[in-house]
Amino acid sequence: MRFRYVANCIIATLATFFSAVLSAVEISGHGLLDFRLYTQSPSYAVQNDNTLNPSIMLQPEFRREWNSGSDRITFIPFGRVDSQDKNRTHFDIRELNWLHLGRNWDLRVGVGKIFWGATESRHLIDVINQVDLVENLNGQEKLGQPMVNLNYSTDYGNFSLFYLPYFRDRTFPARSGRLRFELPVDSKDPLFDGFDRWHPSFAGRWNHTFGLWDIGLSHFWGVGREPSLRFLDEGGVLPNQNTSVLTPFYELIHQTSIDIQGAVDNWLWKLEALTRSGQGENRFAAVVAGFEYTFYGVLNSGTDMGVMLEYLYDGRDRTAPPTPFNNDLFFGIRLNFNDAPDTQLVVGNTIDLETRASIFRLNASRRLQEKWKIEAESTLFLNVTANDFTRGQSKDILTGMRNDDYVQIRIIRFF
Amino acid sequence: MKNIILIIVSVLLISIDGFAQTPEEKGYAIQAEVNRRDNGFVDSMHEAYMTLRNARGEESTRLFMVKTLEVEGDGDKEIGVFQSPADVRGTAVLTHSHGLEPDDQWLYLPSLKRVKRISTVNKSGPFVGSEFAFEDIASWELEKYTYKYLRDEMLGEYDTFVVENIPAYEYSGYTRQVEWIDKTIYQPRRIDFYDRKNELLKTLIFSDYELHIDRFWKAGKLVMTNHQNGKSTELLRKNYKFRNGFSDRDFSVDALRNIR
Repeated sequence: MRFRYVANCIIATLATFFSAVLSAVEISGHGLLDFRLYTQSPSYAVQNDNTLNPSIMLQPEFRREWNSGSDRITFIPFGRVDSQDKNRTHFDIRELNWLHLGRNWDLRVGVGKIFWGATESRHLIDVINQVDLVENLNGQEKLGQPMVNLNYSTDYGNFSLFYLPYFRDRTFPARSGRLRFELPVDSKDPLFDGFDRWHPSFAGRWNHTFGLWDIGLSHFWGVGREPSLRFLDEGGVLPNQNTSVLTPFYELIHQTSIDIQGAVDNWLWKLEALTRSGQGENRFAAVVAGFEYTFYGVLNSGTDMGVMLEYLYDGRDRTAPPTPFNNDLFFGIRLNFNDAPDTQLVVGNTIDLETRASIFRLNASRRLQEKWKIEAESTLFLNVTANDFTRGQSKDILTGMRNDDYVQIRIIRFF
Repeated sequence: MKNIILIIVSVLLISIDGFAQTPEEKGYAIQAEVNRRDNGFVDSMHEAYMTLRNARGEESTRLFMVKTLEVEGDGDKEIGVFQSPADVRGTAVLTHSHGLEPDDQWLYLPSLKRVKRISTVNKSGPFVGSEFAFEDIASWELEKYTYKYLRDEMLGEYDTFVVENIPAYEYSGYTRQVEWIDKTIYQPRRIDFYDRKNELLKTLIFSDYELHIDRFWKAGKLVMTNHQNGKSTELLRKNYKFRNGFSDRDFSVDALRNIR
């Protein structure tokens, strides 16, 4: 099954290259070098204990347009080689699609990427593409998704339909990797609830602008992108760090969601909410809602300071895919220095209102030259306690990451 | 119809120049004529080359494509798409301006495929680190200022009207602007910007005017000099194309996702 997908991708890739040779292709993209430094030894002896973990990533972009821009082929391969986690060394086709722009409609066929959402602390409703979790814990990096996507604009908003013929497995860190759950996830051998990866998924979306507000309503029906993680009893063998795994279990879901963003004076209001059935025992609801208030030109400079506050609720039960965001509060500050090198700094902390465990994130970036950029990133796990793990899921899913605080410097070269 | 009234009004006002016309009326009449001559372009696109220079002479450049759609009875719609620096390539800003009402603005981030609403309160903030504020590059609508004719003056070789513009919209960084308008082509040659303390902040010089489709004068070069921090920004506007057949949909939030 997987082979068929890979083979199709290779054939399509060769076809793209062939057409590329025949005419002018626009080439761009970026490569980067990460130095990630873990400040503590890992929680488990099987994990790699290197302090400094270099990693390289390359993502070229090839585009070709014809029919005065009405037709476009985009090809974006991706590859990372990581020194510390073999599952983080991975390759993907982020995009390989043909886009046709009509007068009031457009059609995209091939591997693509779609983003739905409005909030900062969690990408709750964004369900089209699978999360590339080993790339970034925050779920922002996505795997390429095969699709046929039709968009039609009317005076009553934009209508989108998606046919998603193939399912992509979520990536997870290896046993020896950092930033993993208490037991490693066996991402090579998932279970499906009576279907396979070629089970199609469908989605529909309507979005429209009403004055200061943008509103979207979406429905997704198909393979849920989040797996529940199961410990399969191996005949009395107790869970242990050397052999035990969590097996991903994918189910069919229905998810209906709404997303709203609005700009009123200095306030940006953001909401994502969904209701989902098919995972866990009951249909559940989840919400992320909040605001960003911006102070412009603080301290008599050109610097803007945004203050972000979001509340996160998720009503799923224990048998559904785990999330740390059941009842959490996110507070963040964004600084845009508005200078020539475009210096930015974002810090944020998501705290669990029940356990007091929190994830603190820092992101800073600055352009070095026309084609170079430097970024600093840090993630800290605060007040995450060790679990007394016996069977099934851990109480706090972050417990495996409690010693995985890191600081990372990233140097990016664009071409 | 609006245009015809404007023509009549301005012809009348200009022809009775000096008779019972207050400086405010005359200032408005001059700017109404500037506005009349700019109107009717339907849509346009051009390339913008921006060079930022700091007080030590260090330079950095930005290149972006600008598309504009004229909207009957409202402010223009505009999309700017960055080509360089490389890290912001494909980043786009969509603005639906509404004169005195708050504008709508969206930012498209191509790596995330994400469209974000952005606040338009930030009129006086710097545009991409340059000496141009957002309000300096926003579409100019007649009702966004009140006007006052100051004097006639020779600005170098150009015979000009000097008019004071006072922002009527909220959140401006300026108390006033003093604008030199070329009497021959009814286009600005120079604008002095006065900050909230009414001190001279910046000077914008317009040059290299070219006539497009026999009707529209566009400055090919704009140089903004900040007198308070010693920095300057040069903006070159090249390859103007008019009446490209753009539609409302080309300036919609959904079109942003396919832009490049």
